Amino acid sequence: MRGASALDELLDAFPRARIRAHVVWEPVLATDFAPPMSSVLKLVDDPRAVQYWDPDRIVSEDIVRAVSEHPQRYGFDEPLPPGFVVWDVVALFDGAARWEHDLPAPLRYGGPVVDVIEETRSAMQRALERR
Amino acid sequence: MALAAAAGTLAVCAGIGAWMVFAPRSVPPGQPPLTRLEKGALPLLLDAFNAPGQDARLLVMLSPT
Repeated sequence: MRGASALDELLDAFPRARIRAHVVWEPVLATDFAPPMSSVLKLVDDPRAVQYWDPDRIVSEDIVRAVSEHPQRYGFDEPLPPGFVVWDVVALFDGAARWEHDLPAPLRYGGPVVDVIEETRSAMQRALERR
Repeated sequence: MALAAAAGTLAVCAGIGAWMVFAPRSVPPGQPPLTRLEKGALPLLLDAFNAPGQDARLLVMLSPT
């Protein structure tokens, strides 16, 4: 929840920037048996956000596959362990990045979201200044 | 009496659970509707991710509770 609010504040910091935020909600905790309620979805109220419910964690699964096939590309020394779930993470990509077979290498990523949001904001500032 | 109380509690819990599962969801104004990513639906996200006209993109993975 705090991660969602932190993301919304990050978007607020760049009101005129052409940013698209893809917010993937996925079941991780025992209480995550249903899609996020409207009250949760509204935590990210910026119109530049697109929100998804991923009940089978297909996005996490695909990211784990890509990272495990090419760990160095993503800054890892070795593949991720079996059953790893990508969760409470924010990744920043350049506007030219394209997600084809594998997730593109992010400019920056980290988590928990609320703990890395300031660094993400700085990285976003730098990325936008380069364009 | 205890049985009736237990049954009542169970019914209330079932009702809350059903409401949490089936209640309509709405996203804030200006956003596209909440997209459910079923198995095999990853291209929906990739197409949205690759949409032109962006200076930066964010991907955020969160749990709803």
